[in-house]
Amino acid sequence: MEEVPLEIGRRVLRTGGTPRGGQRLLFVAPIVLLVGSLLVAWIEYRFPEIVALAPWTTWTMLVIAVVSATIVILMIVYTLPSYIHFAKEGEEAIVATAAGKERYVNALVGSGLGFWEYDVTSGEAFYSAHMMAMLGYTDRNKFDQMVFWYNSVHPDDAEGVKRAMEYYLDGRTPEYAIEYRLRRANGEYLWVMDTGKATRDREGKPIKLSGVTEDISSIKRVQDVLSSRTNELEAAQEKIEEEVQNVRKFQKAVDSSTEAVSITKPDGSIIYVNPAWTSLNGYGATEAMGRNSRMLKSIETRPEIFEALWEKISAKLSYHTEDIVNRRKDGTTYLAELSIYPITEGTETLFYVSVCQDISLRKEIDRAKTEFVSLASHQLRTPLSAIRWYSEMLLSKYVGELNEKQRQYMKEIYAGNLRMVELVNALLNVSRLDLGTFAIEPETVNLVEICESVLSELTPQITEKNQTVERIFAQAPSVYIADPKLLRIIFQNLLSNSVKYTQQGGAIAIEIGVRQNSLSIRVTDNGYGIPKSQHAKIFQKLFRADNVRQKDTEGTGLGMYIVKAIVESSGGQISFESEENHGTTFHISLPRSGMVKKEGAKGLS
Amino acid sequence: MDEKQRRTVLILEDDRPLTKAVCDALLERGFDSIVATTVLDGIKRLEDSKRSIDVVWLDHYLLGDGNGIDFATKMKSDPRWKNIPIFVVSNTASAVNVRAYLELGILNFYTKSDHDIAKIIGDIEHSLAEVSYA
Repeated sequence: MEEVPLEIGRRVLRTGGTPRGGQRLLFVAPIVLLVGSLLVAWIEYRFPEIVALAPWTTWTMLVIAVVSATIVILMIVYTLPSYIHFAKEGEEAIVATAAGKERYVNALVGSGLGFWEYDVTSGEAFYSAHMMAMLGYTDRNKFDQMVFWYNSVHPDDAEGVKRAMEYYLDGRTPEYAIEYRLRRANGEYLWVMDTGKATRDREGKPIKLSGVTEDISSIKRVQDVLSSRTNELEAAQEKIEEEVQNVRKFQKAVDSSTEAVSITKPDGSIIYVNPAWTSLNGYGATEAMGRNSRMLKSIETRPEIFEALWEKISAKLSYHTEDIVNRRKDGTTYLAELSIYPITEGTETLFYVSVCQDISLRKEIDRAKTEFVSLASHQLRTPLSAIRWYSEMLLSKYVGELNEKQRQYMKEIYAGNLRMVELVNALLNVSRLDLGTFAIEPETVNLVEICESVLSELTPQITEKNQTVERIFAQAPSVYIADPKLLRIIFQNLLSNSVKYTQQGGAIAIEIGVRQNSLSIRVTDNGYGIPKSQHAKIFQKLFRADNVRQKDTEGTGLGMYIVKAIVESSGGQISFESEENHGTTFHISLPRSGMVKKEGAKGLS
Repeated sequence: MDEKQRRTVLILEDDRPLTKAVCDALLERGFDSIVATTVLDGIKRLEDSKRSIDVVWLDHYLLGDGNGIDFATKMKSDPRWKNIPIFVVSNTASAVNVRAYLELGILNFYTKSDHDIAKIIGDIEHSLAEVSYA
């Protein structure tokens, strides 16, 4: 390894040493010359006569001088070469040192490091031009105080920097190296790394600390990016692990579901079926894979079901039906409740998830229940007829006069029976609607006439309660195609409800008109209204709002269910707005073209 | 009411209490009643020439074989009886049956529990009055 020039210089100086005899020469040569001179002087003084012996004296003096000079010359000759050698080596050392220093300076400048040196005792500091430039000051060496540097340290890092330096100077840490933020002239902070080394005295007490400062902002930035990427990756990994867990959970849930679940690609080819699916449809899982779910399609399903299904799922909406008939592998069929959910990403549909179950039994039970209600209601009519007719005959004095109390009680029996008849009729209507056995027999009708006839039936109650009825028929179509019985049920329920559930002196309005190409029927009152909390239940079977149950004990709770079923089976819609103690508005819209004929065993009554 | 003017109603009804109510009410309003509970019985009563039947009160469901439609069909296909007005008073007839009755030419159809007996008898009286004036 090449020796560092500075080290060469040091070694040369160390090994060179001061040439021997040099000091002796300097010391002894004058003494020799002085002794020679004194000897000449003493001889002249002791032997004055010698002066007279001039030629001898001269020679004597000459000899002494020559001897002294010779001794000095000999001494110089003996000493000089080693001095020349010493001087030469010194020069070499100086050159080497200079070269070393130059190399360090070049290295420092080239490395982009800032150099600094602090006098630990006085607090004086030197900052290299590069250091100053790094901090955004003039590119010139600067002599200042340590405070200049310390004040530039970021407040959050100041304590750490101070401690690192103290620990190093105290010898508690073997080296001084610290990363911190340093403020530039423009106020921005720069991430830097300081490394330094102390110069200590013999006792190890620090005198100076010098070192370099490196701008590590870009490294920090890279580190930050890396660390945030690492965090992201870790989070992503956690998420993936979580998802894997979820997938396992959901897979287990779907596998053990009693509902048949299948997943298909957008083209309908099956990519997953659960065990319930295989046992419902009779196809094995591997057998079903890749085949089109159309294989379950049965001709017993009405074509409009498939049309509605495709319309929905093409629009990326889920679809639910209870009217689909599926065919098993063995050719048998079952009535299915089917829900299809498109799984989309952006505008693309990735999969369809289908959940299906055999509802043949449920439908059969529903049907049996409804049929039972229908049958039971029917059976009730015979005894009700007997009560009606016998109480009627008692009241009509066929068999003699009743006393006032008897007459009163008999009236109650008669009225109670009428209510029972009404309930039975409503239950029969409901069961016909539920079973789908009711008929729609459209004919040309006059809506206003039907409405007026219902109003005239209600006149006694309207008069008794002193209510006003506003008729808005200006926009009413002169003719309409509908089943008059069904229209009558609609008007009868809406208007009788308004009369019943509006206070004495209240106002009712009935409007028949055409709106947005639909027939519009609107019944408004300023009566008791429906409590907000019960709005959702208003069309449920046998529901009666709390506030009216207290005011009026009559009413079957079936009227609005029947009206809604009629309206919807006629292709119309019903809605309402209501506020308790302010009133209610029911709005019905029916197709402008009228009702469509529907065959059925029973009419509604 | 004069004995000669008394009209006779043939009642075909399977429910005893209702039959009694109808008979009593008709009697009160000046009608005589003959009761039958089966189609066969009803035909026999029609054939019994002792009394001429002016009106038939017919229920749909009857005891024995056959129902009101069968009875009405038989009546309308026999020239002796085809002009006797028939009032169907039933709780059970469906829309299809009602249509069948109307096509056979019955005079009116009533759901028992929906109508007062006085109203039905009133309609019967009204229709008989029209016939006699005609």
